[in-house]
Parts: sequence; structure tokens; C-alpha cells
Amino acid sequence: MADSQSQRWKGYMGIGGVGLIFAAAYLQQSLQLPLGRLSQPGAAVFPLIVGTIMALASLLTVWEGWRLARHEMVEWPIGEDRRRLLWLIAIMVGYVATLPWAGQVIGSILFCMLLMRILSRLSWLRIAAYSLVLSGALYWVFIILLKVPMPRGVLGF
Amino acid sequence: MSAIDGLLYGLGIALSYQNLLAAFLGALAGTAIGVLPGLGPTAGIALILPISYAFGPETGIIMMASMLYGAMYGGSTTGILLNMPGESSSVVTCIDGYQLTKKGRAGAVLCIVAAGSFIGGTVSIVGVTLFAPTLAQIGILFGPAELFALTAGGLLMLSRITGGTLAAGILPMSIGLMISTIGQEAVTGVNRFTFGFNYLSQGIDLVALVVGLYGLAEMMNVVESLRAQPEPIRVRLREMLPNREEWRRSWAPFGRGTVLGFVFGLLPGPSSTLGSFASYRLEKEVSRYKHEIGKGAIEGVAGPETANNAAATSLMVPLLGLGIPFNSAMALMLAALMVHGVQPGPLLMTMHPEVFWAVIASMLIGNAMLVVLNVPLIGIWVSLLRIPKHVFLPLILLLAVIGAYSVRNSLLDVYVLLMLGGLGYVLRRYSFHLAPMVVGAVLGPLIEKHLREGLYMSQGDIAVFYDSPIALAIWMVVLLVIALPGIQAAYSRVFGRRHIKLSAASEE
Repeated sequence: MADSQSQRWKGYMGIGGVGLIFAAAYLQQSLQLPLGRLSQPGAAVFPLIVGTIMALASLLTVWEGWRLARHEMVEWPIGEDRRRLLWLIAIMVGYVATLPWAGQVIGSILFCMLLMRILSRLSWLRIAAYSLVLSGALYWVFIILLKVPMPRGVLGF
Repeated sequence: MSAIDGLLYGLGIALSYQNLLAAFLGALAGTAIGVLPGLGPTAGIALILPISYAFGPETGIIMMASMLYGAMYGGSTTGILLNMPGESSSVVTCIDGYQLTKKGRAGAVLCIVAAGSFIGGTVSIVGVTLFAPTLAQIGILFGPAELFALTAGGLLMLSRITGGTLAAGILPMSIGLMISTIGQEAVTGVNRFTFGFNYLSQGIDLVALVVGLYGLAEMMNVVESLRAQPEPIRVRLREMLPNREEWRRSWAPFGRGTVLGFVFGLLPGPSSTLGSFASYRLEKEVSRYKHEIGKGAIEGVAGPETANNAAATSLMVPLLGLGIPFNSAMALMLAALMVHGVQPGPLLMTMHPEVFWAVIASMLIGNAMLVVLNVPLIGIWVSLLRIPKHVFLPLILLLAVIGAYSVRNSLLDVYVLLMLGGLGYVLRRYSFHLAPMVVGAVLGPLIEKHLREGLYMSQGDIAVFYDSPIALAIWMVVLLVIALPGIQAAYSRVFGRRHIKLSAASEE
């Protein structure tokens, strides 16, 4: 599948711009912290230095973006590849969002089933079987054996 | 304690059942991670970070170091058999390794790789044994100002040496430093950038950060470019023995790769990758069979593979001797030691000799274990390549979520994992480097500590940071490294133009 392209310089300018906004907000927050004296520096001193470095690094990124050749491209997925990637993101976000009430077991079974469906042409029956085995193995290793207290959800597991 | 006594003392500790098991499991998991696409050694080490907290510092670091070597070896297996490098350090191995596989020599090449990795790693351990204590003795002379120069300067150098544009290293480094300031401040106990969330007072968890940046971002790449993978060839044990000619041609590259890899491991940046590329270039220059390199010559595999393992070992010198990690994996080891109250650096040998010597001895054991694990079990590693992606991708993604959650039993860490996965994906697209971000997040608190100590001790005199000859020398080197590409560009602009003018004049 061919990739769609975007100009690298625009990406650099965008990343640098976002970095500048972050640096400004970070510096503004740092100024709320106790500054202390130079002989007894307060909690604000290091963040102020870091915020300034971040602002300079962001400006540098913008400047480098400005100087980049206009024909330099960054490739992004399109078509089926992009669809798969977006599905992965959606399934991951859905899994994490529903984890507190679905619980680790139900959540991971559903996560595996949906992701396998996106990544393969297997039948739902085989997908369900694989998902049960994978989630069961993880449940046994992490929750039973290593006693990791994963979220249990409304059904209690 | 002499080096021999220390090594024997370390072997006594490393040969305990618990540490041997840690080395075995680390090498096993590392090889699997190296063979399978997606996770990579850094994210793999991050995932075992919480497990390592449950054991002593030496056991934890033995497991992590074995995992790193295992991943190096496993990455080469896919490169040789499928022309798909598992790790960046195996990229050059693919060139001749895959050509030799097509000629039916896959087994022999894998055996040469195992031998080269063992030799490179073992000789490099001797270097570490001799070099780290010397470096530690120099390190004892360091006060807060020198340590500040070393940590802050080392971080700057790392972000410059990783390659690409200046911003490609400096911007991620700044983000890493910003992340390191989130949470309760160590001296005054003031909460910084927590926005009222008590939970954030513990800071951003390193596992979520690294697994998100490296693991999740890489998974997104794998899912996006899902392709039918070529079927790996079956390698039988009896095909593993190289012939006499292959052995004869490998000894010199083993030697050159070891020296080159060891030196590269002492430098900041992706040492294993740079070491393997440099070794390949060297073989192309000096080998008697240089005309064959690129078309399937054993030298093109033996040298780079020896170099990448030697570099992975000598990377321990700056970590153990100075307490400075030169890449993300070493930063994680530093973090693991610090959780146990062990501060790597000049005083490590005197304060915690058991950790120092156990790590050195475990590297020997880990290297031997890799040969034992990889040569006879190559069939199993090859069969891992047959696991369909729709099975192992959900498994690894679930492991990433469980790993991030399990450290502090917090969903916030899982949210951080997702966000940093997205950030890592975008930054990598634009060729920004992620290692300076991880090292920045780990070194941030240390840099702040040395900065504050320096200012306290000098009563606020900033000159303390460049007054001492050692600090000044470190800053000069840092400045040189940062400015070098600019100087080179200016030189080639001025003299290159002059050269063109002169040649034009002579032609006229």
C-alpha cells in the first residue's frame, strides 16, 4: 500500500510550535513555585532552567523546519494500513477506558478478539478460542501467580 | 581488592541459584524479544523493571544485562534468516548474513555469530574489569560541580551524538527533563506540576514512559506495515558447524570487532549500532576478502556481530564507573539500582562491591549462557518467527498495559503509556531520537541534585560550575562535540568552495 506524504518542514514547525506553547505554560507554572536564593535554591530553579531549554529547543525546531528543503517528505500510512492503525488506537483506548468496570479478564478477552479480527481473516470461533487461551494464560501468570492486583471490574474478575 | 579477587568474589555471588536463574531468564526473554519484532530490548528491560524491584540490586541488574545481550543476539537471527533486522545493531548483519543464508550457510553463520558475540563480550568484560575501577578512581575526585558537568554535559553530548539535526536530539532531551520535574521535589517536598492530582506527586513512572515510547510506538509501526512475512528456513543442529575456511576467515574480524566495539561502548549514543556499522566499514577496508563483502562474506557478519556485543558490554564502564548511562537501556539499569538505594558511580566499588563485581561476573555467565541457549536451541528461536502476528501482537500489547499498571497499580500510568506511545510514534516519524528523552527523564533528578549541591556549597557562586579544571575540561569536550558538525560544515563550505575555485582555475 502506498503511503501518503506530508512535508517534513511543516511537521517540524508544528512540533516546534506545540513545544513553544508547552514551554510557555511550563515556565508560567514554574514561576508559581518558591524560587529561593541562589545560595539556597528553591523548587523553581531547575524547572525554570528546563523550561528555558525547552523554549530554546522548540525555537530551534521551528528554525530547522524553516530551513528544511521543501521537497523533504514524511510518509504516513493510507488506505488499509491507516485503517488498521486507527483501529488499533481505538481498540487500545477502548480497552483502557473500560478496564475499571469491565475488569482485566473480560477487557483482555474483548481486546484480543477485536484486535485479532483486525489483524487476521480468522473465523470468530477461532478468534474467540485464541483470545480465551491468551487472556487465560495472562490471568494465570499475572493475577494468580504473581498476584498483580489488576482491575477486577463489576463482575469481580 | 585486586581485579582477580574481585572477579572471584563476583563469581561467588553470581553463581547463586537465584542469580543464575535471573541470567537464564533474562537471556531467554531477551533472545525472544530480539527475534520477535515490536518490543525491542529497551521496552523489554522496562517491562521487567518492576519484577527486578522484588529481588536484590545485583539480581535485578543481572537479569537486565542478560536480556540486553539476548536481544542483541536474537535481533541478528531474524536479520540472517529473513533479512529483517530485529534491532538496529543488526542492520549490517543482514547484508552478508542473508546472502550466506541464500547460499545454504545459515546454520554456520548463526554459529559464527554466537562465537563472535561470546568472544566480543568476554574480552570486553576484561576491559570493563580493568577500566571501570580506574575510571572510578578518577571519579572520586569529582565534587558536585564536576558531577553536574558530567551528567548535564553527558546528556547534551548524547543528544548531539545520536545523529540527525540538532533539534532531533535536543527537543526530546528537553521533554525528558520536563517529565523528570513532575512530582514531589526531593529537598523541599514541594509538589511540582501535579495540578492537584496527589497521584502525580510520585512522578511519571519510568516503565510507562519507556514502554510507551519504545514498545507501543513500535507496535503501531508493526500494525501499520503488516505484511506477509517470508517463511524462515529450517535450521538443523548438524548444519550449525562452520567449515574450517569460515573459522579461519572469522578470527581477524573477531579481533577487530572486539576492539572497535569496546571503544564505541565507551562513547555516548547508540554504541552497539555505531560499533557494528564501523566494524563493517573497517572490514570493507582492510579484509583480504573485501571484494566479497556485500555479496555474502563471513567477515561482514563476524566483525559487526562481535563489535555490537563488545559495545553492549563496555557500555557498563560509564554506568558503573561514573554513574552515567549512555543509552536508554543503561538509564533503566541506573534507575533500577537507585530504587535499591545503590548509586552507581565512583563510590560503587567501595560502597557496594557485591553489586559491582556480581554484575561483572554475571556478564561472563550471561555470555556463556547465550551460547548454550542459542546454538542448540536455534530451531526453537526460528519457530518463534512462525508465530502469526495476530497472536503475538495482542499478547505483547496486553503485557505492556499490565507492565505499566503493575508498578503502582494505577490506571494513570496506563493513560501515560498511551499518550507517550502516540508521542513516540509521531516523533519517530519525523526522525526525532527517543533515547535522549529517556536518559533525560532518568538523569534530570541527578542533574538537579548536583546543581543544588554546587550552589549550596559555593554560596550561590555560579563560577563553581566551570572553575575546576575537571569541570572545565568536561564542558570543553561537550562544546566541541556539539559544535563539531557546525565547524565541519563551515570548513567544507569555505575550503570546499576554495577547492572548487582552484580546480576551476587550474582547468582554465
